[in-house]
Amino acid sequence: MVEFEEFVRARSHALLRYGLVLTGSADDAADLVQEALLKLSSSWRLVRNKNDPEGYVRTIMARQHVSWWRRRRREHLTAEVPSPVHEDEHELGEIWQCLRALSARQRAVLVLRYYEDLADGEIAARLGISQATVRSQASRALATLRVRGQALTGRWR
Amino acid sequence: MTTEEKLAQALRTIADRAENREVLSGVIAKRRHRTRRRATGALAAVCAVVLGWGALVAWPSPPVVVEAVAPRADSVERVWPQAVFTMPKGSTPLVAISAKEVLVWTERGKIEVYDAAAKRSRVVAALSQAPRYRAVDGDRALWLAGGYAWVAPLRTSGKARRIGPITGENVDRIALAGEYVVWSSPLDGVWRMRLDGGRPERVATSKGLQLVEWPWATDEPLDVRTNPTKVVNLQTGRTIKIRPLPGVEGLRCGPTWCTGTRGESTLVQRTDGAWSRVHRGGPRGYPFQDRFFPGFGEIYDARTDTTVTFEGAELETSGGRHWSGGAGVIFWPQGDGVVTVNLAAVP
Repeated sequence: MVEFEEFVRARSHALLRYGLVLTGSADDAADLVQEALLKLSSSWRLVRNKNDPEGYVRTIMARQHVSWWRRRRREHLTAEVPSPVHEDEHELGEIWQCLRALSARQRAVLVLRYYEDLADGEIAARLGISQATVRSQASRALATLRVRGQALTGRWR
Repeated sequence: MTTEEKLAQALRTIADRAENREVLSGVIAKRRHRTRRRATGALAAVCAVVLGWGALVAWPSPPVVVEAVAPRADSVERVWPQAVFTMPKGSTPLVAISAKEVLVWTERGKIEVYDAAAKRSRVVAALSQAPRYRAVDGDRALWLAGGYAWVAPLRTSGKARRIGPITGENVDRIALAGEYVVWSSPLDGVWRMRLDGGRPERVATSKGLQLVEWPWATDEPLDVRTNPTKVVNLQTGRTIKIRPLPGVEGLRCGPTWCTGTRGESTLVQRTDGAWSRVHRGGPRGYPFQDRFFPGFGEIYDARTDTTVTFEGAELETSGGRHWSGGAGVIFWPQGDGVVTVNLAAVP
């Protein structure tokens, strides 16, 4: 039986990767991972028996991210954070900027669809929203990316 | 390439740049923080929470929970005021050198000695990136880069000298030992090379040992739950037998003190098993100077049986705390500076 500490050691890097694409900041990603693991720890004995503690953590992370983003947006604009994109990576930088400009829920939908490779039904379950909302959020987010991408480079289709 | 394909590729590229960080300590610190807050309002709620995994933080049973939320130990600023100082932003403490000095890595790409009394720093060497493995003695700094060891004077000007190549896979411990640089990797014994060159040679009686703090080495097992059996002084040959207390796993020992786990508790015990103490602050790993065990928001000094607390920096989103550590240093950002605890300044 996997114990909580072993699970954290084995999976924390994968969760930090997921956290980084969700939040756009290494510090926020670490905070999000810790918060989700804290919640997991409280129900570890139940969750580990269902064989998918990682799915549980990732669900918490996606929902917590949206929740935090709402709160922070009310408090103040997001501060400048160190970018994971290098200065000479223009196209990647543009995509990253566009992603960061999306709402947390839209970005979460894109991350779950294009990074986690989840179907819309699974995304709906993970975020606690309807499939129709997933589709509409994804559609709007992609449209925003295309428009912004064209404005920035003229290259995106 | 479509927007979707570019997006998927960009997300994978960005994700690959996520650094691996130690997150468990932050989880435990958050739990402690929340537990304290809840304790002020409802003790029953605290007990309910701790009955879960919280016991890992060394609350072995509900009655101890009450003790855990009792008055905190004193803060490091009050107990060891001489050990706490703030250095300018942009510096990352690496190693404690002396009561007033720490080796730091700066944003300018330099290794420097920061003097907390004079509030000045002096450059030791310029490097393309912070060295992952480093050590100091009173007068010299040592680090690994590009398969070589580099030694530079701390007190006088002078270029870093290259020594090596350093042989062995996964070298992860290094030290200065008089006229030698010494190093070790898991299970491979301790090796040395003269500072003025020559061939690497295995230090006598070090087969299968890993460095702890020169001249001490131990037969550290690869499995994190297995206990070592001995700590050896590689200069004198003196061997100290480790006597794990019943049920203790994963001991990691200096010559006098060890940390390990028992069930879901963390404890500190004497190497000879003569004394032990359960800790809620979760100190793990090897002691600094055979006495200090930094834990989650706490530092335990086994020699004086003193526990001090430190606050760390507040995380903006969740209100949790975070900090970082090096050899004998603990630090966190605060305002325009970096608050640093230098354990070499504790008498």
